[in-house]
Amino acid sequence: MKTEIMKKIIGKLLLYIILITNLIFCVYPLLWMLINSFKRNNDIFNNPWSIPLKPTFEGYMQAFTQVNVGQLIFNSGFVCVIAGIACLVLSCMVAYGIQRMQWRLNKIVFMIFLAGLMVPVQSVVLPLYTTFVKIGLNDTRWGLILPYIVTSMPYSILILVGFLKTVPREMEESAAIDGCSLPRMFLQITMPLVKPAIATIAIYNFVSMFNELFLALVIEDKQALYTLPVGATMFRGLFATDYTPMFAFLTVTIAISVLVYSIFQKQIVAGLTAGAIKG
Amino acid sequence: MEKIYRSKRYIALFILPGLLLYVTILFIPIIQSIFLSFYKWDGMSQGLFIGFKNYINLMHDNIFLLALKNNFIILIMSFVVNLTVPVFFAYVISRSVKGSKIFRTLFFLPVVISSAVVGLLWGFVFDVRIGIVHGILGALGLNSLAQFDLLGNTNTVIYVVGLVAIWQWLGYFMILFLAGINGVPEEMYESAKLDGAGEFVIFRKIVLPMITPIIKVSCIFICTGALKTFDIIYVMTGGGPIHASEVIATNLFDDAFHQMLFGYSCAISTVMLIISIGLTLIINRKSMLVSEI
Repeated sequence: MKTEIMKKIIGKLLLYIILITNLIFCVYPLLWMLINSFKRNNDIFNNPWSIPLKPTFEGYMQAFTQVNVGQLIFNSGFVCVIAGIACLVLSCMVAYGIQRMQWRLNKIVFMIFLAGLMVPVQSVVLPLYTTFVKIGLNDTRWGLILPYIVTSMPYSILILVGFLKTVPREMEESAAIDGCSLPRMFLQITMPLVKPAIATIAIYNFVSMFNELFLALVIEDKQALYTLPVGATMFRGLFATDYTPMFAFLTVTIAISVLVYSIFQKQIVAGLTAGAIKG
Repeated sequence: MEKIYRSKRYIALFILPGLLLYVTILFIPIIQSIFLSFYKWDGMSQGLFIGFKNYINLMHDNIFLLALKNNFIILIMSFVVNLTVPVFFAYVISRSVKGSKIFRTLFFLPVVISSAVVGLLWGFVFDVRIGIVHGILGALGLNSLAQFDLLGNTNTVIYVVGLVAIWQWLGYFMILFLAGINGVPEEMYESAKLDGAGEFVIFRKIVLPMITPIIKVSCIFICTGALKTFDIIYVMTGGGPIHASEVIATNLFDDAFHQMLFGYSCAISTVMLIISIGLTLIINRKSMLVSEI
């Protein structure tokens, strides 16, 4: 009897040790980064693990003035919000048209959008870039907004169509009998019922676009239009071994992600896993 | 009443704006890309039609072949780690470990951080002068190892980069498996225990079969993800040293924007497209998605 309890306790202890080890593995680099962002360069060189005796905001000031982190954040935020809203609106409309409306081609159109899920962005970017250069879009934020909308549509439409299937048509039908027009039905009856899916997709899209690098790197030529991830690529060259401002930049950027994550955790997790679990 | 759902005007209104934008920005460039892969083109001046020459050169291009090999290495690493460790953790957490919410939240955190930023951060972690890794090695007294620049060595760099990619996505797969494991009804555990089954057997015979569909989906994610790896590598090593950590995506970027070989890069991107579509179709042979309407 005693050995059984002993085994159980040891077993549980072992599990906790493993979990906590992984936790450290996941979280420690972030803590380390945070602490180092407040140390001067010399301190970092001398002892990368100590807690600073005299914390300094030098690194942060350098990051904000020399690299204009504020503008990076603004560009990222602006592009993501606009693209996110536009994608949401278009995806809702398309999903409604595919799932609710009755016409012969709806399955084909659905497949066209789903095919987009298989396309890596690298297969699109080169001709897109040269076309944008020709029409001057690469000098504006729209050069990035438009592709962001389009690359987020397939997944959004997939989730929305799946969700719409679960929304009963009765309410729409009774509204229609009362003489309600289709757009009104869509806006005032169906869409409010789809709110959970919309929240999920909106947040998921925002986070994906915010963190995206490849398109942002290729399309935006003007430094004033760089997004945060692009800024990250610049840092190594700019600051070489001047570690403090780089840690400051990392802390700021990650802090934004952590903030968004802590507020919208449910939606983010739902958005990232919905497609997988349903399938 | 059904008439309203058949109104051609409204169908066009709902579908066309999204469809047109989508086709213009996604589909047409894909076709252009395939078309241009048969040309020698620097992105600006007139291209020269050279048929399959780009593809033939690609097959002999050592850097491209190395990139393919590296993608494959990352794929294998991801398969091995991301299909085992997260399952284990998910199972442990699901068996009512205290503080599971905290674990879930924190394990998932790396997923929401930009890959570029993750790459930058881990570039510092592995930095020979101030990094965590070398600090630990030094503290353990392994000074010669501590001086060894893992990111500067052509033999080790791809594995380090692969490890970082795995770090970022461990939490994602764990949440995925957790959702699947939570779908196992409690009664099954109880009846199994009554029959005298140990934890191990329960895991193998009850839990594993129930999460098989999720494992399948995870396989697709891992495959397509390994193919598209770019951000972390670009930021950490730029593909170096001497192309040792080059992958298809970085190779494409380099050929196009540093060497102005747009036509050649289009060939690479077409190969990526074919591999991506092929992988998705193979693993997903019975696609149920369309019937979801």
